[in-house]
Amino acid sequence: MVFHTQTLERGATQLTLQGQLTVDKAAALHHRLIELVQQNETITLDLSLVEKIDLACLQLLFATRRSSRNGNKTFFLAGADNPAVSHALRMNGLDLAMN
Amino acid sequence: MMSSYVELFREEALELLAELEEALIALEENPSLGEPIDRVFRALHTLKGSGAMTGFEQTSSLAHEVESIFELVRSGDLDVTDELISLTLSAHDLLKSSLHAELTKTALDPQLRDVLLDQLYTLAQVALKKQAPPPQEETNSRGNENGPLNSFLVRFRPHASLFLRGIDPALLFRSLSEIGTCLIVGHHHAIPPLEEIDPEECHTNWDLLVVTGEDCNAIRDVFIMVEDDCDLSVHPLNSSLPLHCEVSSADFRSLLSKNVNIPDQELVSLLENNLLPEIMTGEDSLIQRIAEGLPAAKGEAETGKSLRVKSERLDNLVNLIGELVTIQARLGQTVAGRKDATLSTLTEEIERLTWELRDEVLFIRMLPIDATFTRIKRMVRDLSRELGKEIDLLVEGTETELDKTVIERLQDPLLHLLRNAIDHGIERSAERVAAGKSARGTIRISASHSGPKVVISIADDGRGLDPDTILRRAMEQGLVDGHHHLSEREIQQLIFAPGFSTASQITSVSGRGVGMDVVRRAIEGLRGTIEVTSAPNRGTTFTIKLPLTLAIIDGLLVNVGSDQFVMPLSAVEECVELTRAEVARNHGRHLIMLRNELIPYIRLRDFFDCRGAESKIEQVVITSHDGTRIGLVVDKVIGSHQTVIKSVGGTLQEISGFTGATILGDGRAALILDIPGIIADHAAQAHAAVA
Repeated sequence: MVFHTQTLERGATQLTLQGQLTVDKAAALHHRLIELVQQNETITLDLSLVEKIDLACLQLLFATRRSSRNGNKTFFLAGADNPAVSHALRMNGLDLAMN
Repeated sequence: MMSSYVELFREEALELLAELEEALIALEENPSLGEPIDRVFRALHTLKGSGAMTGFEQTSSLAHEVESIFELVRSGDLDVTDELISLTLSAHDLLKSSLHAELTKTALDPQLRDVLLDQLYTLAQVALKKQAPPPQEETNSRGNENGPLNSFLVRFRPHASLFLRGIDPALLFRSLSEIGTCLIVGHHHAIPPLEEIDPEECHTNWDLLVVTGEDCNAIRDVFIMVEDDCDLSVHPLNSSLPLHCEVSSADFRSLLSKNVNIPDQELVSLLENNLLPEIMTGEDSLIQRIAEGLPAAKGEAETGKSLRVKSERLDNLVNLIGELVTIQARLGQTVAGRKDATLSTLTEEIERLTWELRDEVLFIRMLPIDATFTRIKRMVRDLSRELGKEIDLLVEGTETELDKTVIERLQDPLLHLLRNAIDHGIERSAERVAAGKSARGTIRISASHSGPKVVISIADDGRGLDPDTILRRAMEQGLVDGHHHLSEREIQQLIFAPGFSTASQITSVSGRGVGMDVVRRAIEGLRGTIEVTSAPNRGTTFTIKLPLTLAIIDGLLVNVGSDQFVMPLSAVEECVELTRAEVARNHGRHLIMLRNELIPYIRLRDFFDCRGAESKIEQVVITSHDGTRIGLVVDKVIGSHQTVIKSVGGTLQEISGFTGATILGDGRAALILDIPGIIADHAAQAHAAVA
């Protein structure tokens, strides 16, 4: 798994996730996401380069969305139409929940 | 040029039609089984869908009509009868013609279609009238009447520790979708915000709607690994409903999203009483997916198991491998001349890899023989009815694999043998009973592997071959003279002689001038052999032996003068020396004594009129064909040779004695000898000399 953080403008950051997002990487991803939500008003998660994602990491996407909403922040999800991601969402019955 | 999607549909449609035919025959054999009915239905449904998408409207609409008849069969309203199968088989033929007509942009007689559909609908109406139960009975039975499929509500609440056990719920759902069709609804509402979440714990719950032919236990079995790590409940739903009503995943989801914590029984009754009966068709409906053979979550998991490749590409691949084998042989020969250990090791490695690659590629071309056998089943069925004979067909070894080309070219000879067996072999019931046999005749076709060959046998329990009739006819037709005593086996083999026929009357089925010699030549063209054994009143058995592949053979490379030849290694028994002294001892007669057996030999030098210096010690390669052993005298046996067969064209095709050519390691061409042909030629010459 590779993180690539890019500051778009003041207070807006895009985090690009790349490679295999599996339960063994969940703790690291969790840590990075907390930082991201704490430090930014607008958060974009780019999933277009994800090769595999399992339920543990999918849950973190839902958690991020929830935290952003709780903190009145803006949360965007980019690249969720990546087949690896949409397949994982569908296989876990969460495809409509992400919309 | 055909556009790629049309070509793709054509291939798919042909496969579906073959599947339809096979399923219909299976259904006829066992009308009580549900599985072939589903297969028929699926094939028709897919044909309808893909046809409509690709613009094959005529074929698609015909498939739709037939499918609607089979809906009645599937719901149990229409019984599987002989008539239904016959009509549906005719519909299959019509679908094939319709496909062809649409591909070639020609017109299909609309009357054919109307007549057939009329017959089918009449059959369906008669059946429906007969079976229509009184109304009150229908109301009573509705609740108990179980369709072939059951539906279940599965509620899966894993404990937080699920991931620590190494369990991925998606894999459980995939297993579940292997036994049926599932709608999976995951509940994410319990997932805490980032600050509170333990990233290594499971916070998701699921409700699933499963439609399956299996029972409750099969569903529980899927979850057996997580039994102790979850709360699981499986509730059977009123099973008759999903067959008549259709539930869409969106409806199921929306119901659950409003009622996440709804108690089980409440949800079950909501599903049974409100959702299932009320919601009818939907694009995403379960039933739609079942009918399309696309389980909700299964589709993706199945991708990648097989790949559709154009057969020309495989042929190209085989040609390329052929070139590679040739170059490799050349490399081997070049390296052998230099004493370089490293180069030799590398060459050996390349040789090993080339052989492995060759075997793999040839293996890709192997297809099971069952498609051919299905056509046979259909033919036997239709023909025995036409001739009013009762025949059981037993088929064994349908999984036996053979090279694609061999399978394609085997079809006609097999059908010819079958036609003969039905027309001439199997007697009418009365005649059979009078002969003390069962009224129904039996034809047994089997295929099996035997070493590097495939053996196919076709056996009937009919009247058998009559040696006297065969001999008399053969003499009348001038195929044998009365001076030679022939063994029973030799007489039986006479049926393969060109022009031979015992049929006293020409029927529409066989005896149309195509004799058994055509069958024999077709089989020999595949480098195979055919033999017949028969006992009067007990039946006839044809045994066909075929090589697994036609593209590359193991050969024996020999040298005569300045020419080189390849003999198929499968025909070679052994090699012995032939000294001039031995030739002198036999006073010039072309015979060699080998372990007390006199074996005639042919000098290839004379046979092919080869030039170049004669060798002092020649070699006799003992070959055998059809039980006849014969020696072929060569100057030198060079060794075994991976032979890539190249066909020879033009004038060379007219010359007997060889079946093809190959390119040798040094770039020269060598002819591949036709051992059976040479033996037959030799016998004919000897016969002429005696006469």
